[in-house]
Amino acid sequence: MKVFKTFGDGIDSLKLVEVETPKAEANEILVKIKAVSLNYRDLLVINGTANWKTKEARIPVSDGAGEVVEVGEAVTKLKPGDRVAGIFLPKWLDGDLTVEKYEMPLGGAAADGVLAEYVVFDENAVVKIPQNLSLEEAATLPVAAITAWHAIARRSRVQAGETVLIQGTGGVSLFALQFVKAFGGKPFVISSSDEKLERVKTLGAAATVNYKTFPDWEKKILELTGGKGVDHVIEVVGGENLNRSLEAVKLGGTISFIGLIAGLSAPINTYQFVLKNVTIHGIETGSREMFKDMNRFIEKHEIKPAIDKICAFDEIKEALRYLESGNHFGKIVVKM
Amino acid sequence: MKAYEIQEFGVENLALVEREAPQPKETEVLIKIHATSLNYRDLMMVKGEYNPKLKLPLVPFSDGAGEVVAVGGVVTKWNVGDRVIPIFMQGWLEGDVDIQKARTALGGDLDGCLREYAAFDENGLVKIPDHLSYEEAATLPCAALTAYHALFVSGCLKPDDSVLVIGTGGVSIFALQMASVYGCRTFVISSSDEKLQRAKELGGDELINYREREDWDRVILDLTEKRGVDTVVEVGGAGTLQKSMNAVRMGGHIAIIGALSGGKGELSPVTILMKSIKLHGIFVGSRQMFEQMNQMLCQRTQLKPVIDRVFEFSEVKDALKYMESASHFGKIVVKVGQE
Repeated sequence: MKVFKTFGDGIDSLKLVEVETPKAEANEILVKIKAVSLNYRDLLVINGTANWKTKEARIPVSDGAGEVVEVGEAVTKLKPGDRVAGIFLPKWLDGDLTVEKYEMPLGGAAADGVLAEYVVFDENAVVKIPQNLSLEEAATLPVAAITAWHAIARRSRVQAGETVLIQGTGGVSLFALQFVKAFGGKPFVISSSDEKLERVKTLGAAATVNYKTFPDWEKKILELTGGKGVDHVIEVVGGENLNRSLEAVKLGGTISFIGLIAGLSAPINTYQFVLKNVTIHGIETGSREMFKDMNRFIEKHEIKPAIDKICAFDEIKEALRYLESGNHFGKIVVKM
Repeated sequence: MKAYEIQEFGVENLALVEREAPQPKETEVLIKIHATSLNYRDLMMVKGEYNPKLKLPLVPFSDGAGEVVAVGGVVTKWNVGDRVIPIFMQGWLEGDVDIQKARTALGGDLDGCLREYAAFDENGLVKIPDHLSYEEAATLPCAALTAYHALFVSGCLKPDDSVLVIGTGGVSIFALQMASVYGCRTFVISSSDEKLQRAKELGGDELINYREREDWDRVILDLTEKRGVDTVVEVGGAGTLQKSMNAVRMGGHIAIIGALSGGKGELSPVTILMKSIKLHGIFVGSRQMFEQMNQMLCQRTQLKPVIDRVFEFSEVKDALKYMESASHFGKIVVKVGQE
């Protein structure tokens, strides 16, 4: 079978190689991957940034969906033909995250990912995909959607009528927008592009701010909320942007922190944590249990992931560069 | 009556004045204040560092305890002779804090407790636990309630949890005591071996001198089989937060209380995400939390506030300078009224 491999030495060095198709043992299933989706983390792995740098050749990309083609003799939950998606942290089935459950995230330095024609999973390390979604759509769920779900449904616990500030129009942000809307909340979206802001309105944004036009966007957010601030922030930028989010959130509000894009270290106004009585939740994807809850919600509310572009298997490098450019709106999918 | 006022910023400028004693309105209670306690916020307030635009003159100090000497016509909750504590935010009775509630803090938005008499709305008071003196009770409104909020409301401490407290100031000592009587494994870091010894007497299990071990975050990981502690009561601010994030377990909880070592600093916020940490900024607490805490204190009477030193009313500037020196262990109390 064909797979792509990386040494963490950049997009151009990604290599297409032929390897032996794996076999499903005892508790395992063999999945024919039909589609994968890209996340910012995949770029960190492929570019070998900081701790994401791999020591050996790895199959990158964490998110994939496909069809079960073979099951081990001890498998009881799945059968050939089932449509499944892999879970990002194969050992995080339920409960709180622990060091033990945090091992071997897919498509990182420690474990292979899904940019391959076939992948073997433990039968516990996949979920059945929502019935209303295609395999391309389902491939967008494992990291971005579950992260948004964990933030909105489990940590910030957004209620009807509450205001939620969502930053940008990447994968997590658009899922967050759709979930907030389905919970009856009011999503406020900021972006650098008026065109993207027009598009988020059609997805249900209650208000929008262009942060290029208004660099002090947090002041606009305060204006829009009568000086009070938003109930919740989905902080996907990170770095010094957290200081602005701390200004934009209401007293006693929550910030779900997912931000990697603005760098790993920044001067942060920690005193504002206290004065604002704010709760900051670090969100690291989610468990299989959350994934199942989310899938039921997606079916019930008939949510369709926003896909920017579907590329072919041999266009993977272009797809990664497109992600790097930050020009996308929603998820980038690669068909296998 | 006698009162201290901030008329100009600076410890030396604190002015002892004669004011007319207030009369309680219909829903108010008049308190004769017997004792106040100092918090770092009070020092910042006096120096003009907390809010340079503070409306002056202002009676400083949020924390006090006293007895009811008169009640307004429609007051139902209190009688003359009751021993009471005014709550830090007069308007935060229950539920979540909001901007209106937050703008009712004593010794900041409203006149504080460094005066012989003060009138408060009858809802803005709690009863002093029977086993505490006025001086002990005066230590509760800010420091003890903040520690309680951090451990039991923001966090939900379980008896076998591990808790790290930073330093040995008022909040840290209360948190140490509360966690310890609750059965938790407690970790204390301080720059002084002598203070660590005293923390041990209060139930501190693991004591680390951070002058000797600048890598105290690693020491804590080693002491917890690399797992990290469940909860950190973080009073240091930007200077210690990164190490606290390193020392907390995955999915753990950091209650952020203060910014003693600076309010702004270089952080690696990505740690918050990678470790799924919950950071919660704690700004004191509501009356309801105060009442819950007092119940806990009453049930566990072995928990007595640690008072470092009691100053006379006339020595208030010395008390502030003593706080500034940071050599105290536990709370600094100032008596109110004639010696």
